[in-house]
This record gives sequence, C-alpha cells and structure tokens, in this order.
Amino acid sequence: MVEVTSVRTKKKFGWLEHDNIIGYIFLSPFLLFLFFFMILPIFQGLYMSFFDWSALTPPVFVGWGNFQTMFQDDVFWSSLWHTIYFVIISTLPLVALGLAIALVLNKSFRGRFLVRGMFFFPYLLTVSVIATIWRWLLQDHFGLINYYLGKIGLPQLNWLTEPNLAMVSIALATIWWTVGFNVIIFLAGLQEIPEQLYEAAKIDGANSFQSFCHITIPQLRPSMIFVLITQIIASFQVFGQVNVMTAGGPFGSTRTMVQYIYEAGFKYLKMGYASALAYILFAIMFICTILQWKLLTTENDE
Amino acid sequence: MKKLLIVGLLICCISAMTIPQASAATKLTYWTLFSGGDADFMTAMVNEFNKTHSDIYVDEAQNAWGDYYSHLLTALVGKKGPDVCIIHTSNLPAFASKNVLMPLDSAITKYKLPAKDFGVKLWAGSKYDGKQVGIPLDVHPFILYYNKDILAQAGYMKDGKPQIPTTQDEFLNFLKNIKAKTGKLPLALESNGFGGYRSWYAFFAQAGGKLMSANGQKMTINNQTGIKTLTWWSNVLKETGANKLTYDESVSLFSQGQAALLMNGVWATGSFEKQKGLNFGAMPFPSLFGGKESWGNSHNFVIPKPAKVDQDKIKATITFIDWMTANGEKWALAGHIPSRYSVLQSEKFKNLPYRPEYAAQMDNIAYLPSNIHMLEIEQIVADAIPAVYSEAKSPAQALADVEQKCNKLLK
Repeated sequence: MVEVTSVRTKKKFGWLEHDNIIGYIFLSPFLLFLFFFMILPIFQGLYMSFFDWSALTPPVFVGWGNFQTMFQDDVFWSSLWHTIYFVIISTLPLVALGLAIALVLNKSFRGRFLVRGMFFFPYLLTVSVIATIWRWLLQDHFGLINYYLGKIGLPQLNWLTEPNLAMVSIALATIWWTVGFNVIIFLAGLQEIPEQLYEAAKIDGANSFQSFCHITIPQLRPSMIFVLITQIIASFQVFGQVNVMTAGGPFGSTRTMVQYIYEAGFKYLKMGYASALAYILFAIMFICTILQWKLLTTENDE
Repeated sequence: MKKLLIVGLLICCISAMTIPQASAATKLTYWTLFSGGDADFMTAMVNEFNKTHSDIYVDEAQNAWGDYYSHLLTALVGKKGPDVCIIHTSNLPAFASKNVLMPLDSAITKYKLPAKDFGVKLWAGSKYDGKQVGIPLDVHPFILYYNKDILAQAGYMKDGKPQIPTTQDEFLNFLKNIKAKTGKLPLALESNGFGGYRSWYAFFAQAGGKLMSANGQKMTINNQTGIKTLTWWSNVLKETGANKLTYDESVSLFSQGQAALLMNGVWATGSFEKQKGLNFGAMPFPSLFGGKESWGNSHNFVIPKPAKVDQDKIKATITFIDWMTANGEKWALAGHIPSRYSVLQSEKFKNLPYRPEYAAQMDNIAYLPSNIHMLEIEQIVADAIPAVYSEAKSPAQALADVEQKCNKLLK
C-alpha cells in the first residue's frame, strides 16, 4: 500500500502503471456495452412493465395494470402453454440424443473427426437458414419428406399446417440444428472421465451397462447440469424457428412467448405490456433454473 | 511511457471523424420496406429521379419487410427518422395517432400536388383524424390469377377471356368441373394464414359486411353476413381441397401449373411472368356476393415529424413524391396498381402486360378499417378464420371468438 502511494507521487502518470487500470481500460468498451445494452435495459424493462407506453408517446403509469390485462389475455395463456409444450418436447430428446450421439462418437473408429464435424455442422448455421430449409422440406405438396413418405407407401402428413403437428415439426428442426452443441459438451465430459475408473470396474467384474450407470452417468453430472439448464433456457426462448417456419400459425397454435413479446412490443406498439410479458417469462425461467440447480446439484458439486 | 502511447492510440481509434459535406443539392433520406423484385424497381426509380433532378438527391435505405416497422419505430423514438418513408395504410393510424407523422395538407396545397388525380378511395384511406398523413404510392389488392391452359382444357376460355361465374353455386360447380376435367387442383390460396382471412374478408365486404362499427368501438362480424359468407367459403375450400395451404405452396402449385386458379395479391405478377411455360392471366377478385370488393392495402409516402421543419426539404420531398407517383407505370412493373388516374389512363400503363386487366379492382378496395389496433385485430382475425377451414372451429364459434378478443382491445 505504501509503495503504491509513493509511486503515485513520483510519476505524473503513475496510475497507468498499475496493471489493473490498464486492464480495465481494455475491458471498458465491453463493460460500457454490457452496462448500456444489457444491465440498464434489464432494469428499464422492469420499470416499463408498470407503464402504458407506445414508445412514441410519454409513458403513463398503470401500476399492476399490464399484469392484470395479461392474466385475462387468452393469447398470453396460449403462448405460455405453447412455450412450455415446446420446452418439454424439445429438451428431453435434445439431452438424451445428445448423450447417445456423444457416447457413440466417443468410441474410436475410422473417420471419427469427420463424423463429429457432421453432427456439429448444423449448429454453425443461422436460425433463418435452418428454418427456411426445414420449411421447404416439410411442405405438404412439394416437401422432400412427404415425397419420400409417399414413395415408401406411408401416409403423407401436414407437417406445418396441422396444429397438433406443427410444434413437433419445429422441435424436429430444432433438434437437428442444436443437438451438436450438446454432443460437444457431453463429449468433453466423457473425455474427462479417468480411464482407471473403467479399468477398476472391469477388474471388479462390472459389465458395460453397470459401468455406464455407476461411472459414466455420475461422472457426467456437471456436463448434464450445464446442458439441461442451458437447454431449458434456450427452449423457453424459442422464436426464430417459429417465426420463419410457421409465423406462429396455423391459427396461432405455435405462437410462443418470445414471439408474442415481439409482436406486442414492435408490431402493436405496446412496449409496457411487452415488458410485463418479458418479466413473467424471465420469472418462470429463473424459477426453473433455481429448481434445477437445487434438485441436481449436491454439496460436492461446488 | 509505452502504455501511455497505447492508451493515446486507443482514444484516437475510438474517436470518429466526420467530414462535413458541402453540396448544393437538397439531400433526402428515404426508407423503404421493399424486398426482392419490388426493391429493384424502387431503386431503379430513385436512381432515375436523382439523374433527372440535379437539385435534389434522394438517398434510399432498404429495410427487410419483416423488421422494417421495428426499425422505423426505434428511429422515431430517437427522433432520427428519415425525411420520407413508406407506411402501409393499415398501419397509418397506429403511427399517426402517436403524433409522429407530419400532416401534409398545407404542403400539398402549397407545392401543388394534384390531389384530385389520386384514386378517391386511396386518398381517403391515407387520412387520419381528417388530416392527410400519407400520400398513396399504389394499391395492392387480392386478385384472381388464372392458368389459361387449364381453363381452356376445362372449357372455360372464350375468345381469350376466362369465363368466371358470378353466383355462388355456379362458382362451386365451376371449380368441381375443372377438377373433374383436368385433374388439377381448381383453386389455390394461402388458406392457412393471412390469405385465408383476406379471401373471406373480400366476400364479407361484397355482401355488405363491415369489420367494425363506424365509431370503431365494436366488432361487427358475428352476424348473418359474417356467418353466411364464412360458412359458404369454408365449404368451397374444403370441397376443393384448398383448405390447408401455406403461402409457399399456393404460389408453387400455381406457378408449376398444378392449380387452375390462385387468389393472391398483385405482387405475385412479377414472379409469375418470369416463370417459363406458365400461360396465365390476372383479373379482379371474383364477385359472388353482390359487390365487387376485394381486400387491399396501400404503400404510402409519409414524412416523419422532423425536430425542426425545413421548408426546402418539405418542398423537395413533395417534388419527389409527385414524380414517383406520376411515374407509377414504372412502379407497376412490380405488380402494384399505380395510385394516379393519369397514370392508369396513360398509354405506357395500358401497354404493360397483365396489369391493366386487374387495375379495375382499384375502385373496389375494401381497406381494413382505420383503427389504431388494426395490426393486432388483423392478427386475431388471421388466426381465427383459417381454423374454420381446417374444421378446428365452426364459423359461428370463430367469429364470436374474434369479437370477444377484439372488443377487449377496442373498449
């Protein structure tokens, strides 16, 4: 402490010599952006959710008004249900399939790197690209999938125009798109497991199923928690695929929360209401994450 | 000292330099929402305007249609709006009611824009609260495209003109005959989305229906007119197998020669005429319930309220709008119907392929009512009506549903 002050008095620009300062200067562009485009809007959003605000006219304070409107709004409830439905039907396959593919890819075989790359490749594409591809693949009359279904004598389905099927189709596209990310995380997790554990189990006479249950699964716990939490959050935020593949249709049966927030805010100019919707979604995701954290982690995971 | 130098360099890099531009021409920033073929025609027109007007320079910025309005909204909030831009008639009330658009009445008189030359309905559609807030560039209604070869095969072409029935029963038989004689899908349209509600809305308007009461406080669709038109139309779509089509499919079916008729907006003309081997025509929307109305919307020029009014800019903008609308036949290449009578009567327009055949629809446009909640109401209607075609809801149920949801917004 004494030394620092003495340096300061000696040199005019002495404070620059301090490593932390120069570090913060390099960080400052990022920190400024983080503050102005993330932290500030988050709190401003909470504030705006108590106002009736079109963005173009001065905000009018309405207290809990937006939240009261929301609870009587059919579109809010249906969007919420569609979102939860999507979370359920997408998360389980994304985690299970991700793990299964990772287990296969963890074996050594010829062309392993190529195959690993293939599974990760779709993840590199932007959402509009994958959604457009799938929108055409899944068309009733001109879609490749229905064409081949017809060829092998199976019934052709209204993938995107049947309300009960549309969300499943979107989940299908999403799985193809993002499963590669989960595979990579699981693969990394699998490679962290020390080989000795399996050897010891073998010596003790464990078969491969037993090793899987008692070594692989427990050892993968951190990866599993990470994948589950990020996956559920990502699924709650589903928007791009829906917007491009069905635009919320048929008859609003695939409208999700984020889509409704977007529509309310930017199409209908109800910024206050959209903020309230966003905060409800945030609250639900927050509670989900806390619950998972509590349920999945133990003291040892710290 | 080295570190000081680095910091100094960083600061230099961050600070941006602006070089002031000196120019005699009045510069106008112009935002558009056109994409694809439309955008090319618009840009060509702007370039030609700039070439022929040495005292004005229009700087066009194209935006994707999907996020245009959010972009414009953000700019208007920051008072960084363009000098002139495009807004749909259906979206004018939402913006005009927020007091962000400049009323144009005095500028129109002062700089002599010939108001009488514009389509009467179009001109009236660009008013809000009695003030002219927009100047219509075009109108783009729902019309009927027909495949000449398929209709000829089914025996419905006479002297090069399609024989489209004018009563409901005949129309259904006509569709069934096409199917029986040619095996093709008789009619395609985006029954699964917005096209589903637009086609019903056209028939509803023909039967004298209005979406909402004159004072805009109540929906008026759950009545005999609404139920009669929706029941009949959903039966037609179900019987002819056109009740569950997406937009892409409906367009592909027609352009591939798999469908005899297509109901779609005039904007599809440009891409169909490029399709090799497609022998098609276009005409006004079929009139089956008395009137000749069809759903339609318009692109309008608007001037966002500037922080400080600059009369030179306003004058230049009106000159620009006047030129763009007076040369409407160039914009008609994109398929849209030009907004001015003088253009519609010009030889240049009459010599264009396809366009003059459906231009008559201009006098029978059923705009959506002028209401600040129109976009949300439109979405509610567009969600509910296709559910009837898919038999997820009965006509009465769907209409009651729409009324209940929309009335909550309107009250």
